[in-house]
Amino acid sequence: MSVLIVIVVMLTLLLIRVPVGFAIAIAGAFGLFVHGGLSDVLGVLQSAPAAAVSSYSLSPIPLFILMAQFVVASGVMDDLFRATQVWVGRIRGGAGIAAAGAGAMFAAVSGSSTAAAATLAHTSTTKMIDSGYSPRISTGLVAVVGTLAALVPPSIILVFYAVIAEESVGQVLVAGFLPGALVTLALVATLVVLIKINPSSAPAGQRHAWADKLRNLRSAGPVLLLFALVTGTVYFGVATPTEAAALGAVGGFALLAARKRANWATIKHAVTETISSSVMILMIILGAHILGYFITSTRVTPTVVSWVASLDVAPIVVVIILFLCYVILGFFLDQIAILALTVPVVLPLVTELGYDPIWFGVLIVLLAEIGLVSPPLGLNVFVVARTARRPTAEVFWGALPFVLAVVAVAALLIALPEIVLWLPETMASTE
Amino acid sequence: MTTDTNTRPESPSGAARRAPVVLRAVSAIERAGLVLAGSVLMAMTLLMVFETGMRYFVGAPLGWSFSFIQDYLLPGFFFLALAYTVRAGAHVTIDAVYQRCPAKVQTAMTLVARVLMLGFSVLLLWAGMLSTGHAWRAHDIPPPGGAELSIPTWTWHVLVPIGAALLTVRLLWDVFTGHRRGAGDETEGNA
Amino acid sequence: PPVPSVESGGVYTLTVADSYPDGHPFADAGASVLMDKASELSGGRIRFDYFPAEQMGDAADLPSLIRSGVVDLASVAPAYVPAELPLSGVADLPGLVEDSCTGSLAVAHLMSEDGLLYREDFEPKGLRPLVVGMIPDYEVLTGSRAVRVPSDLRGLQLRSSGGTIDRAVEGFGAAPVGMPATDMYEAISRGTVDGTVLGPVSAEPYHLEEVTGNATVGARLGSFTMTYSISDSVWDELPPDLRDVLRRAGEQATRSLCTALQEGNAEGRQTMRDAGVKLHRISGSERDAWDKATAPIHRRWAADMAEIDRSGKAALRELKDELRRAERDSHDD
Ligand code: NA
Ligand code: NA
Repeated sequence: MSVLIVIVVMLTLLLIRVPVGFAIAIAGAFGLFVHGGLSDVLGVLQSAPAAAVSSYSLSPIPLFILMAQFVVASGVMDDLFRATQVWVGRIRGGAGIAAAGAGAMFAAVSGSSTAAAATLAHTSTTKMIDSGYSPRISTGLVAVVGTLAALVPPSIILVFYAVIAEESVGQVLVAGFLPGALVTLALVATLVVLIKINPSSAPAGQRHAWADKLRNLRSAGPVLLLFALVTGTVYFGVATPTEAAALGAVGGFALLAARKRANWATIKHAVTETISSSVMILMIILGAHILGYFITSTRVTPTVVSWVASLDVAPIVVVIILFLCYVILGFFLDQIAILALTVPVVLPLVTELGYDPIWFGVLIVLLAEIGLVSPPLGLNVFVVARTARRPTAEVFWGALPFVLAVVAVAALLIALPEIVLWLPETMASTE
Repeated sequence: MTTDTNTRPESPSGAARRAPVVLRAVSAIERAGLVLAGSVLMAMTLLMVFETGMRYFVGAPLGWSFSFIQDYLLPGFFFLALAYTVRAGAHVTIDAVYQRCPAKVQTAMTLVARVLMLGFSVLLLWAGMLSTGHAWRAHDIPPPGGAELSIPTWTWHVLVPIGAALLTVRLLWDVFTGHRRGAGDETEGNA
Repeated sequence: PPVPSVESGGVYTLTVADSYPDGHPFADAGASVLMDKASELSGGRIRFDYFPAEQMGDAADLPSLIRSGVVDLASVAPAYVPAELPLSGVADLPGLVEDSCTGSLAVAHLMSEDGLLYREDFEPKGLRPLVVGMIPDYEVLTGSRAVRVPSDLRGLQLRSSGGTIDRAVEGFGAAPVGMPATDMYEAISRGTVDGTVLGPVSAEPYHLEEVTGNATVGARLGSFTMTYSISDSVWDELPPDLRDVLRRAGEQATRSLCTALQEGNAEGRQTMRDAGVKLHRISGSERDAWDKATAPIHRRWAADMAEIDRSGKAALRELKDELRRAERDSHDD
């Protein structure tokens, strides 16, 4: 009962526009007050806030954000889009495939979905529309391609999942790689089908000379190098995820310097943006920590787990219902907040049912990301619509076929968990 | 769901016009916090790279970097910048209902929201002072030679009340001047 | 603000928290025995509200949660809070304890009402240990490099859990590396570190037998000591007969726990053996080499304690006396 009241309080706070992290924290403090009085509130506040943000495993989050900021500031994305376009240019819709390819490559150095969508909207959407693409397809595609960043390592949200699920950060990160590759393929396939159905939605292809192709290949080099520096070092055990993230930030800076953009204003902007995004994420984590004490005190988690376990339904049904809940939550709530609020309650149930926590984490991240490109609160869509100066509704419609492709990939991953688990398992094997 | 970084500030209310000195002081302290947080971020990056190099090439890791990042750098980064990020509107909010409300209701919502955040901030300040006070009085200090640097622990406990104090001042300012959004407010000297 | 009373209608309800999952010996043979015995001996006048597995906070936060009244009784391990309980690290020093029961009874004595560690460490923090648990016999688990004598450790990088164990690792010439326990498996298997240092009982939960090639037996690199401690202010609120109940229940839990940990270490070794890990028993002249390398670590520790105005020398002397006494007692039985 008190849990329901606290949830209502939290939703009310969110609706009157209390920032998400603060809304969770205030609702948690309110719950503790109702449950144990002011002494409990002050007691928890004496240790929880410092404990919430002082977890070594969280340190990759600001470092990954900093790396992506440097990469964006370096302007390498323009080149990357152009390079991919030159290579696949001959095909009708080549620029669209290029946008997906460049997006996947950017995802390999950026950990945030919305930041990726914003960058891609800048670099590719307007160019696609100018060269004769239907605005609906180009904006919709880019909004969805942005979500790859949360899946392909590095990923901030997967780091966060690993921390709350107490799984190895390295393994969870690596687990996102193959699903990310599959989503990329599915997006490209969807694009090709859409163009087949309606050829006028994309311009005819354009041939490029081999010399041009080889020259453009160079721009992909630094990005691939950066990916190897971060994900490669984690996969091969050279560095821990935190160390890899720091290497990535320095690598991103090197890229910025190599492209002669490392001036004081750019660096200051990158650092300020990094602080803003990281502090926002950490505030949500802090709030969830406080709320967590209240949730624990009410014992709602074991109650729910034993209730569901007593139901006479197949485990897969339970898990699929949970996945649907994540899609729905994604429609309304910030992705980090969703994980912070639900994983401590849901994960014990999922492992009790016999499912792998790494597999579950990758899937809920993939599914909750759908919320970023669907109404009513699709942050990626807002960002792309604003950048490309197109109506929001158009972008939502444009994203729909690509969302269906993502759902298809999710179904595949549910049917074949090995796709998610194979790579992280190879990390753990003895030589 | 948006962050309100791109919304423009309201025109300064009467109180805001009357107290530019206080405002400038608050902003200056927040900026100092931001600069410190930025330095901490840089320090964390370089420390990790150095540690990786020492471990991989020299075979002699520093040892203390793990606990130093946990106890000092991450909390320092967060608490020193918290007030600035609130003033800059960097925190994600859900605007769907808010945007459909008339202006008067919006003002009321914002005021209530700020007052509640202020209440939380005051509690955080209080609790942070309690734990810092305890660590101070008890002379808690890790013994030398261990995994943690031998620095009194109040030096990291105090990061919480410092951050909460900055935040409290910012929210008090917002509440009592009717400064509704404080978002990306260039007039406050955020050059 | 005042912490509300734990008493209601003559029944005392204590909120208990620890950092160990269900199935861990500390929880199963320590906390559970303490709670069962106390309910039984008090005829139901003491009740417990138990939150295991870090549900109420990380191991390092539990002492402060006791102090602030969020929990009444919790696991408190000096290794996780060296700044708050520095002197108690003496119990984790290498080369001292071989048998969990001897070790934990000796340490329990030093942590009881007139004991040195209670007076110096626990009492000022408002904590009162009821149960003492000890994982003795920390061993070196390595991937490919075999370790027989301390000099084999030179230049190795070993994941270490902090506290006194770090200085033992360093004292033997290896470099301690801090990392979350959940990263340990992968770090060893990928060679990010050369191995780790822990009690055999802790190897299995992290599946380390899968990634370990070699392990020592009897290197005695140190111990991990933990307590279940109650808040002093709650203790003061309890009537004398219930305090006595908790004291007795705590002693029984200490005994059941040491037996379980001793068995756990043996099982841990067996698991590694079954998984094909090469176990190197430290014998004869090798033992002498370890003892010789241990002495400077003890001296260094006492010197470091002196630097923060704590008498490490006295703690070490008293612990050695208690260990001798406990050993004598167990022979008399
Ligand atoms: Na990514
Ligand atoms: Na949404």
